[in-house]
Amino acid sequence: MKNYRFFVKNIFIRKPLPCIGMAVLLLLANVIMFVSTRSVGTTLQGYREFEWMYRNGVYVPNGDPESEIDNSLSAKHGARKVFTYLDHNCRYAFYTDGIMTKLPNREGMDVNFGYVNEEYSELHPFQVSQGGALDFTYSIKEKEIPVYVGAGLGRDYPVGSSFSIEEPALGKRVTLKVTGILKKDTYHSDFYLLNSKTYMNYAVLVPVTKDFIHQAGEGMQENGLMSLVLLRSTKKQRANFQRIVKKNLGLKMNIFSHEENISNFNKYYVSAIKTIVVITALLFLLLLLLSVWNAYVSVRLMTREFTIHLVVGLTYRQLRRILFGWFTALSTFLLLAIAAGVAVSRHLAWMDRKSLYAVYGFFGLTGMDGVALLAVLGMDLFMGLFISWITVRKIRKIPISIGVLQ
Amino acid sequence: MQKTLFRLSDIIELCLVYVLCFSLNLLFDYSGKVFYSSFLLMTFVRRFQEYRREILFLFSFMAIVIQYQMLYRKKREIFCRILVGDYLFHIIGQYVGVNLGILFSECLFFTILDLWMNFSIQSNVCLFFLFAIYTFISIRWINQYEKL
Repeated sequence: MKNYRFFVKNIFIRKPLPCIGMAVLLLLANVIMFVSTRSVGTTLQGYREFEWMYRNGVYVPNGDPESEIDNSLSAKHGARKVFTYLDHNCRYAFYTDGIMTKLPNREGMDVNFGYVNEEYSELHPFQVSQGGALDFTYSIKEKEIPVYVGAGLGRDYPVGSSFSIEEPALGKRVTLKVTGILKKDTYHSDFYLLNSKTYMNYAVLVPVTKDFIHQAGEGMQENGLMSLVLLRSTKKQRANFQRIVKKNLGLKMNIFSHEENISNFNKYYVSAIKTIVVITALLFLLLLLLSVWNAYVSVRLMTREFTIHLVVGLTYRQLRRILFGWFTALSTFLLLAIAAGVAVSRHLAWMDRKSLYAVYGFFGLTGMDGVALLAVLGMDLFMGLFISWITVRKIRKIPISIGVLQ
Repeated sequence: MQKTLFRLSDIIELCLVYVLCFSLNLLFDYSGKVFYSSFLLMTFVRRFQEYRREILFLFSFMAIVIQYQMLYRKKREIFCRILVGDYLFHIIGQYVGVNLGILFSECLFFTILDLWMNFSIQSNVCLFFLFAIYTFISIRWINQYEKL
């Protein structure tokens, strides 16, 4: 420890430029590794969430990009007619969200309303920290609609409480009864953009029944149509569905089978993940080479100091430990700086009242941030071991007499 | 060329660092164009593009490290040259001339490449001035080594 302090105070800090150079290279390597791991990790999280969509018997309808909803048909309750057909002929999983509404809460966040039907909730159950299962047996004419609220709303609206609100999908004032509180940092990924997710800490999850969908406004019905999933349907039913959507909304629907979904996943995501891994590996290699070069530069500048200490009894092993210790201190500082930067950016979502991105996490970091930081830590350890080993190897090649004479 | 402080290995090192920085700048423009088709890749690249200036600035720091270590190694040469009658002004002039010559030729090459690929040359120009500033900062070290 005495040697280490001496080296840091009298050698490394006296030649600041190579040290700053190493810190810069390490920082870039850390950031690249962090961003890559998090991008790949969030995509895999999204894939896990929608794994059931890649199973046999699941069909995902999607509006053709070159076709649009005809507003004149839409005004004639076209979406409602489509749902009437679906209710009588198909099983479908339904989830839609994104309707932001004002609901008084401690943080003053706008609240995102999500709507889920029973089939979707069976395929992808929402985890609750308090309360029971979602109730889909209520009648829309009843006084209260049972709902789940996000963890951020749990203190203002505990289980069993009721509140009255202008329900954005129904467009009328209703009373919602809290039957469960979602687990902290529950998220929902976008099926078409698996790495993009929104958090449900400030969300109200409404279980929807067939009656609810029929009484809802066109906006919610059309959004729902764009994100519903057909389950165990025949070819004829799917063709009829396409025909009815075209007739009632003027929109051409494409329906993707699970094979097509898997093929699209492989085409867009697997290839993108491979590209990210290759880019990261190449950049990492480049930065590793630059770090080795920077270490050699440091050796060139500090040859005299190193060799004098070797003459007076410092062993190569001790020198390697000192270098590794210095590298570890540098990388720990940078790792903490990255963690602090991410925590601050997460905190900004709270400051800016962006309820969709407000997370609790551990010190403001999500689980995936933690995984990415662990990957960075692993990379730093590898770089530290490799660079300290290669630096000592370089120093070993310098004859002591020449080093001292320098 | 023989009279300058630069040896072939120094020129290669400096060239490589400049090429790396200018290539990285080009890569930022190119990646934004190529990865437009995939949302995942686009968001991945965008994370870096948001901090493009900072990343390029940090990366450019390698150039000043090179100049520092090169001049540190040449401190005896600078001292001896002055001892045998050379002028500090000449040494600095030759050093700046070769350094800016390398920088200008590389900047020109990458600017032509940028124009050919329809990218903005603004970052290239900024990098040129940043490296030029580094060169002028490094003159301070030559002055320091006038007396050992």
